[in-house]
Amino acid sequence: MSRRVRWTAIALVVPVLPLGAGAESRPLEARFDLYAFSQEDNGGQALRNEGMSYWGARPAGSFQLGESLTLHASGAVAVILNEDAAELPASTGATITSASSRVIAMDISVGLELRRPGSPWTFRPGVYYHHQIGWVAEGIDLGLDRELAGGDAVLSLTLNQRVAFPKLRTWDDRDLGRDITATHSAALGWKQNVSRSVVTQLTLQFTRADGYLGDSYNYIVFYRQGTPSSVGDERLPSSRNRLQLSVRVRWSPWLGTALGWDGSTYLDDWGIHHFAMEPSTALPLPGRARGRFWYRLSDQRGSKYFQSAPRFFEPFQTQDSDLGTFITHGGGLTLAFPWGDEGRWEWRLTAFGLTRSDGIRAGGADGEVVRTW
Amino acid sequence: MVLSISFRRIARCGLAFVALTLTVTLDACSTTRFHERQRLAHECMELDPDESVSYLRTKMEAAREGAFGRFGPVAAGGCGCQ
Repeated sequence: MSRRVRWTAIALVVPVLPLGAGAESRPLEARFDLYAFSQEDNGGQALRNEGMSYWGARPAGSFQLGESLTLHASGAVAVILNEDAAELPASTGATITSASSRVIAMDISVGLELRRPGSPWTFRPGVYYHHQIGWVAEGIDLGLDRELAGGDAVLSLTLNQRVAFPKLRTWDDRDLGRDITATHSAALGWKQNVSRSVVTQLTLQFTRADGYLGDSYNYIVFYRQGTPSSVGDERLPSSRNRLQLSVRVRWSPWLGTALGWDGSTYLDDWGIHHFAMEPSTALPLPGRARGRFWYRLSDQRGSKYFQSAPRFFEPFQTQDSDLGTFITHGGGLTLAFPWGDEGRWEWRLTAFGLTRSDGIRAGGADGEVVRTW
Repeated sequence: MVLSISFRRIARCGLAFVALTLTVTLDACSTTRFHERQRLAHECMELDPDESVSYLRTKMEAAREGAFGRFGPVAAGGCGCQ
């Protein structure tokens, strides 16, 4: 499987590269980010410590390789610091182990954008690689855009494949070896200029995942007469079908200012129904600065396999709080400060956070420097 | 099983609806002239104005819900693998 992904990626990307040969290449944009994220556990799964923090750096850039070809590349390295495993009540007779307290994760993605001058078609092939202890994934991304109606409409088809090789370990430290998780996504998008100040996008996405779909170290705590009595393995189906419809709208009442509204409705065959909406605004600030502010509200009805206090083992069962029922409030802002000649350098500062009704809280920040040519 | 069948029906109906809508409406979707797109072309109108923020938010928010964590297409590979 892994070899097939690699050869498919090479077969897709290599034939396109000669289109950039011989033409003058030049950088378009380069950026560097430092970010941090922290999760506080005041709930979630009651007998699991879900607190963690995440620190990372990410360089990215775009380069014009020829008049028809642009290269986009990014890499990210992050350190994930997990809090210690929870101590279970003595009534369970169980001792829990957990993922390493410090995990290093890495993402690399390289993509091409091919568009002949004057053509309404854009082709976007790309490859992806993710590496961390116990989880390696490879992937292929394909995108095809077609401009219509003189550029007022763009139809897009996006296909993504991810093949992951998780190394499985259980809550009581049993090594189950490696497994494979394959995920295929197809998204159909329609972006439309509605008027000279309104643009909308409609996206329908279907994703199918097969293989091991749980998480290492996840466990189930069983209860008898309200008291934790024993611990067992999480078990989830080996396939999952997921569907999401999203709508995005931007309205610019005057030049440089925009009001936005994004919404999505999601369902899958594990029984999760999820609704999310995100109003936002982007506006100029004093000097040459700009700001963008958003608020996100989501409402999730949890999976039919989620059991907060089970008494008996079912064929499929989880206590992963991310698959449970909750409402999330979130928000954030990005401030951009151009500097230098013609504003080709820019500092961007972003902060965001969320709070879930089941007690999970998290917040993050990103500092970014961007250079455009 | 019942939910699974219902899900497939909804998926099929959704796809058929989108295909029909696109077929019927796209011919009539020319709404602006080139010189009228100044506001539309401004960066404040971008759906994902900052690639790095989108990357970070997708990783953090998608891992804290059962859905995809964003509104456009997403690779959804699991375990922070987007």
